[in-house]
Amino acid sequence: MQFAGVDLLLWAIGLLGHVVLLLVLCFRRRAAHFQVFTTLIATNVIRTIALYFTFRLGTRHAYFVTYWSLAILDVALQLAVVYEMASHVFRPLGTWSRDVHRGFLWLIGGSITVASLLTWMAAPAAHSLKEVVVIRGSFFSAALMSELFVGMVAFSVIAGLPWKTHVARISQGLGAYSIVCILIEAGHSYSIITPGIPTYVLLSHIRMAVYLVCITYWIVMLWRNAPRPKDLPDEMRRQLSLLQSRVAYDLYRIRSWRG
Amino acid sequence: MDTRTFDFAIVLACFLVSLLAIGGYYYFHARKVAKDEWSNLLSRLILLDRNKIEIVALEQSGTDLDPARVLELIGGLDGLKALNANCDVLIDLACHCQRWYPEALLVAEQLRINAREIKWHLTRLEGAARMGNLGSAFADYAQRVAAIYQLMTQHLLALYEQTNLPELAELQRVI
Repeated sequence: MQFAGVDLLLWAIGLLGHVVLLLVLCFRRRAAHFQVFTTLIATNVIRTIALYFTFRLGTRHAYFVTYWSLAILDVALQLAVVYEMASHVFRPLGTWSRDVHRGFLWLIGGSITVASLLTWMAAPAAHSLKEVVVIRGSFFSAALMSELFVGMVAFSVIAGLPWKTHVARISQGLGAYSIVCILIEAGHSYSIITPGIPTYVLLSHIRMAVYLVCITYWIVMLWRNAPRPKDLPDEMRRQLSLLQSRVAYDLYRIRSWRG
Repeated sequence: MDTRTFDFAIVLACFLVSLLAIGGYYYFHARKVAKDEWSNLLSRLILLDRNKIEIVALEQSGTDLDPARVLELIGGLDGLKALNANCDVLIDLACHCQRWYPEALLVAEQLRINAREIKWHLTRLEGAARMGNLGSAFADYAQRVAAIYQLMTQHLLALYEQTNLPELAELQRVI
């Protein structure tokens, strides 16, 4: 099999974008803070190369198996990125705040339920069970991801927890891409899956183009430094430690009133 | 287009509009709070009679206050809602401080947790009001809310004293 012009262009730009983003993550020392996100990007570099050679040298069936196996890995890593972003936002002191833990579990449960209902309602124009699973699976993951990101933004505002600059930028990119993917995957559900059919191919190209915009956004935003915090003098640090002891005592009193 | 496809299109459109509306609302709300000036945050504070709140907070530790007396001192559910609104402002003020000194995160987090606890108490009170059981519930919860609010106020003032922010005098004047 051979790449057509637009496919080859999107593949080349995609590979270049992922490599540049990976370099930015490593050289700007973001990788240590965002280990799962860095793994996702590194996996995408390998995935892009693997799919290129499978497409050129392998059979159509081999490409299908490779593509969807790696797509499942990609979705799993994206969900892990959601967890990583949630950890940065909802664990300000290193452990889950006790007032947000239950709410976050409700958010996950609600998102899965709504995404499942939407997926159940879709009636893909597919020829086989394999195609139905592929189309419904893609739609479900897009709906779930977008719900989780929007839910996290809403929940963080309700809980009063701020987003750090780079966490917000990564989440915005992935969230916006997921919302666009809902439309793309809904379109896929009602177009014929056979490669070469204009609607299906056009939608795939749009999705890839949106993802390239997303990668560019990440490259720029992760290259920039977050606003620099001011350093606390040692004396002030000691005083804050004393203040915290007082707060802990106050909380002990508050809890005793509940009894 | 068959019926099922049409239904799916309608539900999908509603879902996307809801998603964008919720995401947009909270995203811009978060941006607004992050960019708020000190004076804007202060202007959101609702004036409260701190003396009455202190009476409730001090007396709650052991004595049995008459629910009607507590209700009067705090100003009923409206008074509690004002406390709740002020708690949101206190958190935003703490975040303002946190932007300059991230080490203040610990104290700001405790303030946030206290405010969330007040919201929980308010929810219980509103539930009691719906069940027509406000009188007895008020004495149980309102005293705790007032006490927590007083503690939060002390924490915030202490926080600003520690970080030597110039807005301290203005803050003390308002709360």
